[in-house]
Amino acid sequence: MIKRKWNINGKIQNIQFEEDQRLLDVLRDVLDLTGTKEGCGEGECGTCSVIINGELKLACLQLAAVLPDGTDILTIEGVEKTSLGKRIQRSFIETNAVQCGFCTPGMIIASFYLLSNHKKPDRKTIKRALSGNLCRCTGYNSIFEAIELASGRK
Amino acid sequence: MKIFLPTNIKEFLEIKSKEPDAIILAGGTDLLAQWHNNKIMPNKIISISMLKNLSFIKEENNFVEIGSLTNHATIESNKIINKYLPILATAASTIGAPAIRNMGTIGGNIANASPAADLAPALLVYDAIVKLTSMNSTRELKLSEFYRGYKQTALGKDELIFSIKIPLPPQGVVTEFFKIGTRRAQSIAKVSLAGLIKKEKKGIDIIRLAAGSVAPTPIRLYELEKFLQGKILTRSVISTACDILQKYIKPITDVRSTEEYRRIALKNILVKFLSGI
Repeated sequence: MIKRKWNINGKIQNIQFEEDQRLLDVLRDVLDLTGTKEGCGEGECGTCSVIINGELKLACLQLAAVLPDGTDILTIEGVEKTSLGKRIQRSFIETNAVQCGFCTPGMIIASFYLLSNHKKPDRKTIKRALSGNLCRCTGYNSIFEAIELASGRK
Repeated sequence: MKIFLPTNIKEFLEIKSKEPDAIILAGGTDLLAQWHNNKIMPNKIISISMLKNLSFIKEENNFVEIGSLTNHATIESNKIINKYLPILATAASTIGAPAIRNMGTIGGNIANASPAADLAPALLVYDAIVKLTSMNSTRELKLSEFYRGYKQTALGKDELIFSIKIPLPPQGVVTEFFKIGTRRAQSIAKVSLAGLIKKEKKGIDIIRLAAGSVAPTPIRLYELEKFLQGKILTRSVISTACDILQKYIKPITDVRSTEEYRRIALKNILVKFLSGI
């Protein structure tokens, strides 16, 4: 059993989990933060995207035990409460960027990471920033439009 | 399963000497994916993610040295790399997608020893040296000698990849990196080629070529370089170069591509490189 004290979505939490658990398992099964989804489980689809210490990462390829005490983890449940997160959420709704919704948490995390680092990204930058996130419903254009809307461009 | 989390290199080496069969975990982009697919079942893992002084890029004594824990996103954007080793930055930018580039490391990319490793062809044409460290010694060997066979390396059970050292390339060289995958993001190379060339009026002065996904390991194409050295790049010279290339590579048919496709595609990018410069 591993014990850690992490800052999860702005709240310090003491947690316990098994040595072989991925961050994805700990988020979903231990912390009940089920907004982070498991798609492929091998780093191809991006639906498990989270932000660890300010960097976009994949929770399926992250062994939880290697994250020390004091690690900052931001998931979709935390992003939702930020003003940028709210702006992105509203834009996704307005441009119909959500269909089945399974990719959406990862898409919003990747968008949040992009807009945190670029105020007004162009279409090429947006495409590159979302290149690790698969969506089988929307055809992507409505998602790109949502990001442009959220960045105040349109 | 047992996991070790050393906080300095000395501690790592002590653990590794007691647990020689433990698997070293860096960014996890290869290891966790293999684990997920039950290709490996690790009993003991030593994570090196806390060894922060393995993450650095510096220019010193005509070498660029890159710490083994440096991630692909850093290599892609670093000023020193972009100035002296532009195709290494290009190769890093073709790996996976942003989250993968924030996780995967240069040390992991070479230790995993995939024939399709994206950084390998660029590192090979830059004559990269692998610096290995153990309890009692440090040794350096050429990357081309570090690879020992399909997914096999010269890394000893008591050793750690400390850094990759790259001599500054000669003045006036032109370099290019080509990667053919299924799509622009997230793809593992069906075939890749890195080239470094310096042409003079009387013929080729310097030529180095390396390819990925066409042999059990990423390879330098030494025979081809020997043939091209000093030559003027006429159509017949390029055509002979293509014939030599075909004898020299051993691509296989697998889930990503076929032998035939790989032979044709590599030939085409070689022609593009040689006739484009």
